[in-house]
Amino acid sequence: MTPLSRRHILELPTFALMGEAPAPAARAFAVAEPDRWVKTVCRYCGTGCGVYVGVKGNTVTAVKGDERNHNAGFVCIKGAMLPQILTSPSRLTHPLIRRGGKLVRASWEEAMALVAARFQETIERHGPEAVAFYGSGQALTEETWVANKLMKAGIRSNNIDGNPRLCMASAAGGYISSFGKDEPMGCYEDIDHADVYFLVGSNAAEAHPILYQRMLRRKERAPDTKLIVVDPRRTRTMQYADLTLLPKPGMDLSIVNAMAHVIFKEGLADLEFLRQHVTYGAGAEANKTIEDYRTFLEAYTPQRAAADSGCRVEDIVQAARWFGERGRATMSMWTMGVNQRIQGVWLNNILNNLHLITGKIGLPGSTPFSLTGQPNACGGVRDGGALSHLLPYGRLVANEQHRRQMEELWGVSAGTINPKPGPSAVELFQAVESGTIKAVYVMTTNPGHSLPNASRYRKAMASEDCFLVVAEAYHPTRTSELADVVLPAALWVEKEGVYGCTERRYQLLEKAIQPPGEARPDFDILCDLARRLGHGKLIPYKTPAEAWEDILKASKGTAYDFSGMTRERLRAAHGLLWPLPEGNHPGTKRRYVRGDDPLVGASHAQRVRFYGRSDNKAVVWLRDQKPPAEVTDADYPMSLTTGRVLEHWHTATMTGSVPALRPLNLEAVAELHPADLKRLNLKDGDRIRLVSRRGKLTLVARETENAREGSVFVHMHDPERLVNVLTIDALDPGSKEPEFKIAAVRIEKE
Amino acid sequence: MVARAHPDVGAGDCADCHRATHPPVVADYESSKHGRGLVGCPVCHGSTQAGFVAKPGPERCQPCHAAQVDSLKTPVMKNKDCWSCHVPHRLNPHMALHKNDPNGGAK
Ligand code: SF4
Repeated sequence: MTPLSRRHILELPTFALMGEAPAPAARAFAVAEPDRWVKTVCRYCGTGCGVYVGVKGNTVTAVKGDERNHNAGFVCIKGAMLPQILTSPSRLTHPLIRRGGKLVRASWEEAMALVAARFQETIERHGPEAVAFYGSGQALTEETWVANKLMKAGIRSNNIDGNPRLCMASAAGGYISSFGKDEPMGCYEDIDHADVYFLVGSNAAEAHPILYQRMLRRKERAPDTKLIVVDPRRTRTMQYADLTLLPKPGMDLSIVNAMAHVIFKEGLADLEFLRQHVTYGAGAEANKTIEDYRTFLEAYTPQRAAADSGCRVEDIVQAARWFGERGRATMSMWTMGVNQRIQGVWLNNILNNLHLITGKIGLPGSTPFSLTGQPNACGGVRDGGALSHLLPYGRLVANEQHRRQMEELWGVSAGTINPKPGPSAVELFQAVESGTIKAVYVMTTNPGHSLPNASRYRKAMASEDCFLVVAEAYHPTRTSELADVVLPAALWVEKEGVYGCTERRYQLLEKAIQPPGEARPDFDILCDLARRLGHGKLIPYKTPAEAWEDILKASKGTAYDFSGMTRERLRAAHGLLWPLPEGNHPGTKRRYVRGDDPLVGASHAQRVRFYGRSDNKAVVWLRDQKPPAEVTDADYPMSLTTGRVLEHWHTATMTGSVPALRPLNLEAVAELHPADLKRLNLKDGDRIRLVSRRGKLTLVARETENAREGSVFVHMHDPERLVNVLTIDALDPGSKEPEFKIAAVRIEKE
Repeated sequence: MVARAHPDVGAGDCADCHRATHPPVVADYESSKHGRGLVGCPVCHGSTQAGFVAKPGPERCQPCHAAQVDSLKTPVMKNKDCWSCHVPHRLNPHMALHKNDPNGGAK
């Protein structure tokens, strides 16, 4: 190539197309220096990128990625625009109370007195099980701790669940049944060592962009790195894939089982690893043998999987060979396409199986790694035990010993905690519908938008019989519009607390500015409510740091032990990975691994010890492919699937308020394959009605080769076009996570 | 900066239209690291509305390239900005700076 002069470069069309000629002399560096930079974590996704915010006065004016954190200084499109979420006109700056059918401005005293009185009265008249708390994987760990303690030890109700039930419950259920304890054993650094990425039901390019970029950087450095993507829809994640499989929605268990079939047939199984570290199970019992498992796999030939899924036999075999090839590291990653299914736990189990049968686990680059959707689903709700069947740090409501431990830690008398697990998210709102739950406190989440079969539960929340309190930074949302009281919450860097992201990484978000108007941190609001309900002694905290002391104690001695993670260490660090049982421990990259995980024991005879189970073994589960809850038929012949886009996040309360993101892609459209459009006599841009057994939704049809024939995709972000009025509230029997990803619909022309 | 009314992008992204109106820009962008990593147009150019910036300054690079932006404050970088060395949309350094590099500085 002939070297070009700068002059020539300037003449290239690229520059001319900027609209104006380039400035002849470069402009001087003109970034306004903020007064100070404050270390924090991105408010959005479960990747948990470290960032600094630049503060001038009481305004966040800039953001930059933290070079010393896992994201190496990078942020994605959402992260780059974080400051704008704070100043949106849709921020709520004072409490609201419903009067005469309308939400009107009220003082904090009026609002809190009303909330406390209604909760108190409901508890007195109908018992503690008539009130509920619905939390969030976006709340800070200390906030969730206070809510959990107040509900389970104060009010004595296990009616506390949260949106991680809609998101990660199946991954948690998968890890618990496969390994005895929740949370992945791998870490982000494994991406830099993997030779094969196996992505199932994950559109990481859009949903976890910084992790996807890390995969691409690895592929650039090591071009032989393979990317396999399994998803019913052609996604942007497949752009750089070496192998793509597009199964019929819900039919991927056959593929994963067939991969195990091929791995055994072709001698790629690590029989020695299996002998040392694995036991086998079906149903709920670990009472099977390797022979049972191999017999089970006999039926899952690649031919059968191809027939089930509509994928090609050779692609399934190729995926298995790449996955299992000896001497190469394989990292699986998955997210909602796996979890939001009635077979979610089972699919999680068999993804874990692939790593166990090949021994590709607990080694750099080899790990089964669930990607989390929210920034603190892991740290706050899963680890913190703020679901209706859990207690903090791996303990269970139904386990007497665990209840006694928590009663002691919480300083309440033995027998205080109700031994009966409460309802899961969807069941909780079903109890609102049936009238057994009469008052609900919703914090940092938007169930009026995000629950499946949304019209049903919106009606329940709006009912006069339900006293609905919503603590939220924004108003109106599709939930706050239904509330009886809306409490203005501080957001992100307006408060302090801990987030724990996908890889067991805990990080401190420092307070950078004061909240706007009268908004208060949820921590303060909850402590205030506790005092008003007569539980001031149980919740004596003045600051989140005081609660953190108790949290450290609750983790001590558990499989989550991070008791060395003091506030000071978190403040100084750029993220710390647990287990971290002592103040000077560096943290654990790879859990269950000798020499890395302090809980394994340095002198353990083998390289891993799966100490989550008392037999120190992991379980390979025999899990059959079953049809989705709702199969297509003559009346509802198309399969609906939902998902995300790069520019928006969850219910778009934040991204929809960012001026540069709001005009982009927020409108939900029905993505359809050209062949389907032709068959239905429709064209791109037509207005159509999607009809499921639960609701109707009018959208514009968008023609795209990326759609799978017979399927329609609609993103879940648009608050004006709620795809969840169509989705089904069928639940995974183990995790109680709904099958958002598959519903049957028909298409009608408007 | 030219003020102009721009419709909302709605469903889809900027490239849906600009692939036709500005093919080399979109092609350069899509072959760049930004294109591959889905660092979308608004990260540098802002909103389609009042916040649109035709020629992004270093403050737009700062979220991901803070150290490089900081380096503009050093004496050797006096009167330079990011575009003194990096080709817009392609983002690899100007080939003139890498005369002996057959890839023109592209990594
Ligand atoms: S990848 Fe997730 S955590 Fe990182 S900047 Fe983007 S939204 Fe934030």
